[in-house]
Amino acid sequence: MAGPISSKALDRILPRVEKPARYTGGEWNSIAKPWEDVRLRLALAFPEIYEIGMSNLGLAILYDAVNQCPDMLCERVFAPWPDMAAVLRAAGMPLYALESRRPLAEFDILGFSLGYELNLTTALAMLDLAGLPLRAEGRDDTMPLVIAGGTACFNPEPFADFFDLLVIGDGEESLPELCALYADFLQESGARSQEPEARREFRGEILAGGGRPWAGGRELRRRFLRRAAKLPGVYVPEFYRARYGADGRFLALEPIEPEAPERVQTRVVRPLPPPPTRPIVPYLEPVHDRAVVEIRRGCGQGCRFCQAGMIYRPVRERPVDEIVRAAEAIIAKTGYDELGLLSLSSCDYRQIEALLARLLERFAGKVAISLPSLRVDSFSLKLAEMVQERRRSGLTFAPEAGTQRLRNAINKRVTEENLFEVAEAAFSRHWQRLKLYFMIGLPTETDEDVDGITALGRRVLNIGRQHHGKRTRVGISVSTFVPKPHTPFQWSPLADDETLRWRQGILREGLRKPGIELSWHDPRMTYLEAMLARGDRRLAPVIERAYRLGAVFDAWDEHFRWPAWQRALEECGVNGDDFARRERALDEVLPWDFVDTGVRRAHLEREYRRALARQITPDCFQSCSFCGVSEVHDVACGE
Amino acid sequence: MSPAASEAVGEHQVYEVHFARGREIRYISHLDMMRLWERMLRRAGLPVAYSGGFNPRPKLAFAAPLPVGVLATDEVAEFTLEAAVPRPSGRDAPSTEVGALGPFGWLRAGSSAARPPVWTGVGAHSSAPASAQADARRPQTPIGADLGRGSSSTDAGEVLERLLLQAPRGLSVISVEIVPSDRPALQARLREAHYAVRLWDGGAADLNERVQALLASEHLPITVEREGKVIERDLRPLILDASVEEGPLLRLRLRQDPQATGRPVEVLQALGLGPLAAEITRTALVLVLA
Repeated sequence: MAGPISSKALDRILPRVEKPARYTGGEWNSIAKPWEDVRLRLALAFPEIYEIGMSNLGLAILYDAVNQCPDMLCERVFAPWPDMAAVLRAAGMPLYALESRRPLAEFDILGFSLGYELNLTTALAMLDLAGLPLRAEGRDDTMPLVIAGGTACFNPEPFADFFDLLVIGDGEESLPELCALYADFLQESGARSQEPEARREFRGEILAGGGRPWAGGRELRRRFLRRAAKLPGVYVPEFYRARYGADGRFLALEPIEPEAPERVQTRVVRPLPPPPTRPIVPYLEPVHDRAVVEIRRGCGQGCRFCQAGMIYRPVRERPVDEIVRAAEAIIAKTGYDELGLLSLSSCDYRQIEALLARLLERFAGKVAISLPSLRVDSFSLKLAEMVQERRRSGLTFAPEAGTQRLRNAINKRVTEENLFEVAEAAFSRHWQRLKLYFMIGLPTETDEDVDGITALGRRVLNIGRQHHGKRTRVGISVSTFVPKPHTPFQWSPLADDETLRWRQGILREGLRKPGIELSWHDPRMTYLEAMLARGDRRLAPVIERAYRLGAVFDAWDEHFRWPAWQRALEECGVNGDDFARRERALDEVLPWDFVDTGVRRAHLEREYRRALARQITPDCFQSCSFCGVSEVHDVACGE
Repeated sequence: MSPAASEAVGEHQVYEVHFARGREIRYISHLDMMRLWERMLRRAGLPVAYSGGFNPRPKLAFAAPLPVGVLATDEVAEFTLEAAVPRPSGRDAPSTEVGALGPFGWLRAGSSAARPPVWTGVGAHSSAPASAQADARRPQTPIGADLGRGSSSTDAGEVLERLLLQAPRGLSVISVEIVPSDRPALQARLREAHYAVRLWDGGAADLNERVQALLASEHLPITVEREGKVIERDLRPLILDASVEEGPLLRLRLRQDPQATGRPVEVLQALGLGPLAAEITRTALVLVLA
């Protein structure tokens, strides 16, 4: 079946599924370019449902960046919910992109956005539904180049076998570059010499199992990958070989092709280009239903558990004027009545007060402004008060740990006094509900630190009660610490089950109080995340096997199937604990060491030692900690 | 000119709008449709009035929610603007941008002075083949009759033009008119809904007989699920008329008022037809004036 899927065919299946508008596209500001007018077609795949994918700013940025190129088109595809997946399979219909409704296999490039380890099996499900072999080596020259980017790719090893190449770091420049390189290659190599129509029919035949001039061959593909490997930020897994010791330890990742660099430098866009101003307005309500402007990328706080805070350095801020102009354009072109100012720590934006003043004046009550990620201090509260004129939702703060000792160890420079002060100020104004984020299982944590969470929670509740009595609500969300690559805690283990269960028990006991709402994550999911985050190539068969055994949408409670993973690990003879729970030695080679973020490993080691000594490190903007990024990029951070 | 049109600029003004829903947006829910309209109005720079109270909502109401999957050729909604929209001087012809939209350029319907007091919508649309083939984006209706009348003296034409520029694919705004602000709510005035149901795979061979039997029956008990509860109800009084045309095309006139709603899917069920075997188009909503 070649060409777009007819709306008639869709009308036969869509009434059978929940929320069919997930699969129809056509939203305001979506871009459907004529198929034959371009020389490169990219399908951006997001391995989560539509409502989550459409809240992802990264996807919106890349969609805009590629569609800005007149000779390329970029479409979207999201993971079909299991009901739709079943209906597609039953109808023998391939997964298609929303704009043209063409099967994914007809695109030149299929690019996955991998932000989260628990989306991996869902990505495999999408490949499978597209009719494509899961492993790169199984796909021939007639099939799309299958690539990935996103935060999870800072350790691409566990899933490297599934992709032809990975684009690591900021994608808004590297992805169009890569697309242009591939378009040139297709033209030169003759894959574009045939008339487009003939080519499409030809591809259709291939899908139907007909004539196969290039079938089985990967020669063209490999020729292109040699070129692509020279592009900064591009990693071609098949050009490397992993070496392991007799004891099973990972020893090295060695280039086996001359084009493959020993270390892959992650891409950093500097300065940030103007933000996209024509975002798609979904019909279905996405998780975050608002206009968004990214005001700042990167973070200088230096929290030792935080991957985003390490891998997106240096901090880059957009000028106030540019943000205000972009906000005006987005509001005018979308009709949103809420604007989110996005960054890892919005209050750290150096001109935040001036920015808010300008925006409030400009939108005068017509557009609500939201500031995610508030710092725990009174300055943040002042800002929250400035913007929350119309809507008074709850306020969220993240003290992360229960005692000063542990907060120092993780470099979360917040004191109890900060928290109580903010709570007092918030409750004494209009807020009745506060939400606090904590973690358990942090390196060096003891029961006493967990008792500290209980104590803080109760104290905050009491502060609220003095103002609002029994109406006070304190939400306490406790996640389990997952050690992530490229952080000072990349050597640390995930805490063992017994400890975690015991400490959850402490919280359940200590926080059983009317007015306190306690929530935490499934410890099995956390385990899976930890295993995949710090894994190596030996996990690819496990991921594939788990998918074949039914694992998909692993981040969803109702779909998470731990037994499938357990069996996959057993069958593949892989000990998950070795990745999730084993403390790595400081002199060990790590599978992601070849990914060069600009932050020196020596800096991470130093920070790890400081953590063990409970020494804090100041914010980048107070004093440089010499992480290495400023030398690599030859910048004074923040400019 | 309707009475409200003469009210002073600065007063809240209520607009009635007719629109069609095509294939592109047939699967969105009623809530999605509300959001779509709110955003379309804001993009059009039309200052929608908000209700007072703790949780202010834009004053935007639909005569009847449109079920997911159902197409429509003549839906009715009304919204309140904070102030009358002045017609820009020197712009009494469709703007070039509107012209660029092709078939919409001429759809500048303004006041409805010529309309009968009971607005049924049937006269305009029942003759059109509101079947699966009918392209809802281009209602084949005599709207051109309104062309050149009224729109220059009221701001409804300007509102229409702005909405046309901001309507997503699949939503055709047919007409806009200013209505008295003290008129009862659309939902309270709704009496009937008309449907054209195109049956796939030829429907049933004895469709005519089944429909006749349906109409001849006194009671049609059916069980339906509402909010998780299975309840029994009598469908018969909700069916005002039913007939079969070539296609086969089943035409239904169902009761829809504040007390009761006849659902085409339930009629199909009573006829022994699966809900997935048909494409449903709502062709008209019948409203009374007061």
